[in-house]
Amino acid sequence: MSQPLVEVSNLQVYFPILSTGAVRRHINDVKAVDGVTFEVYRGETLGLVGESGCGKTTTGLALLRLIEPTGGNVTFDGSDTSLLSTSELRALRKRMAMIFQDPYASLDPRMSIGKIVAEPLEIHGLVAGRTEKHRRVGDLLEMVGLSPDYRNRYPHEFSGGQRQRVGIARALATEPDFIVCDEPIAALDVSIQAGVMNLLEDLQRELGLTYLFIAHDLSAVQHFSDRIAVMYLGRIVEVADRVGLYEDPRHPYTQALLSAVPVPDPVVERGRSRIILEGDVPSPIDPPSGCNFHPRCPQAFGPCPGDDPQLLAISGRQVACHLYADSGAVNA
Amino acid sequence: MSEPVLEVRNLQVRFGTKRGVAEVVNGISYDLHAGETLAIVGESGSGKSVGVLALMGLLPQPPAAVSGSVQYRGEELLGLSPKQWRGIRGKGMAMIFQDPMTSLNPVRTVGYQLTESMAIHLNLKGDPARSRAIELLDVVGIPSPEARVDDYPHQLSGGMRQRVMIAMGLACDPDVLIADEATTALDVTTQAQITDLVAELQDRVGMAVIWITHDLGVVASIADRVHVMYGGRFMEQAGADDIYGTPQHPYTEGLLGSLPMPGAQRPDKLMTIPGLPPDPVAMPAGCPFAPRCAYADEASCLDTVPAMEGVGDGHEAACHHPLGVNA
Repeated sequence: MSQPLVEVSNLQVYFPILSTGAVRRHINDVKAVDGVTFEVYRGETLGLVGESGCGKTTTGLALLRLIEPTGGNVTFDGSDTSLLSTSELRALRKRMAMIFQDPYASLDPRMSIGKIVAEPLEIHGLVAGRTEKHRRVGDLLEMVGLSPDYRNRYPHEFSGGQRQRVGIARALATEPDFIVCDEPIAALDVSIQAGVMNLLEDLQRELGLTYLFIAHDLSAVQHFSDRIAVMYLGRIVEVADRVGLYEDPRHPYTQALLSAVPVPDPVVERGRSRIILEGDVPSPIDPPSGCNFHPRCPQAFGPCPGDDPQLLAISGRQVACHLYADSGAVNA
Repeated sequence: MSEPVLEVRNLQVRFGTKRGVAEVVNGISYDLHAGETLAIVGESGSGKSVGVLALMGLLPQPPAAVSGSVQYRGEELLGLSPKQWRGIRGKGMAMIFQDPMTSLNPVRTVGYQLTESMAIHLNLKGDPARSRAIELLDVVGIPSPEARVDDYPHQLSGGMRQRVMIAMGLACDPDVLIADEATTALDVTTQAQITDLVAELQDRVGMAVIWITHDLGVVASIADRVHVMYGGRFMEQAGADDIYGTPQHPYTEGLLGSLPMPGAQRPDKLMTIPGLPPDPVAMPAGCPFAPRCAYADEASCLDTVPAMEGVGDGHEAACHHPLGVNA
């Protein structure tokens, strides 16, 4: 495989909890992202799945330094983003972009969509003069399947799917290499989702984009990604290619997650057995000791409550689970 | 099969708006039998939620105008007085709402909210009501129910709140339970817990369930029959196997084709349905799906609303050009 474009190592994002009263002491942390390591290779789509609250969105934001990481580092195309000055970071931001979850909240209702798409062009000084800006905005809108004639309309005049296309056009404006797609289809209707996913795929092929695709919907992630990282309570529990993850999930959490995904086919559904997990996801303020999945894990045994399993490479994938600790794994 | 518990005939709901009359539900009819699970599937704006709110008498009139007929065990429900309704809601028919965060009362304990309907329908108060509330919380799988019964909704997780909603729905042993997007706000692992729970309770007490959802995946494992709704009408209705196996309506086909299937094989492209759902203020004259349909022709589809016709055993579609078995 080619060189990694983005390398994340031991990324931590903690949100401090302060005591109430006159002296606001730092009493604890919400460990939203607690030691996450992965790479995204040039031209690939890495899917990041997990349930709400597992820290997947925070990971995406920290990658672009839209949230300051508490620890660890993110290397983008060879340069460590935590060491960059504000102006260097701004230059780098041209090369990375984000598509947000909620197309209703992520577009300024008082700006025309032409202005919304032109804003990044102006900020980064990518267009000289009005005619060029006009042409470039028209091209971008066309690229995402909207008519350039719509440029003077406002977000409320568009449907959810169309708004998400505006969000995509804005992300593409600076010709980025890397786009973090944070639940880009979750807020859309089923028949509209497919159109947006097809568009993202086409754009990747045409422009050679690299995606981090964050979603809770495992079917969508599987459809879309080359490799998939599964996250639970601030940690990555398994990374595998899409076929491997589907056919042979190794981590007990991945197995449960996959078995819970409903298949739109009653005949298949009757032949499946679900692994129903007990209870709820624990609080990231005070996560369980050792492997943080152990209180809900149907296969928990001796070392699980005490030792924190490392993400180890086994047969072409990475798993953080004591079940596989002795199977010739090497430290990843 | 026995007499249906619920008979809905030509149910219509309209709203007066500034822009004109919004035709949200345009004549839907169905029967619901005891112990059966009926899934009503549609996208946002298809009228599926409004359709069941009308069923429960929960639409204020005006602005809504509800017509048609809804019979519960032979008794006509439309036009009942608020007092008469109170005898039916909760006991005969109960509803689980979509968003447990906003549909529970934040300033009352779980126990208070659970026992409220018991006092009305079962004449249970005080300690007996409290022990039934604890029993119900246990049934829906809430750990240490004796302690949880005194909790407020904000002390519970999303999945637990949804379980409390279900427990409230079950409080007076209803014949019909309506679940309106009951798992949409939940994660998949919690969703699996909830669908399994409802199916298990249904087996135990024999109630009928109407499951309203936009997600064809969720209902595949639990529905006996599936009705696909679009533009306020049923487009297709059949047993679950037929809907997924041999869809006859182009809209159903499009919906199924646009779903990414979990699996190792990746189709080249997802099927897309061009265009947008119809505006309820300006419904098309013919089939509501015609403007987006690949098979539509000018002769019939744009002018005439297709009637619901049999296309197979227990399988009906409202389409001038059903796809045929080999489609």
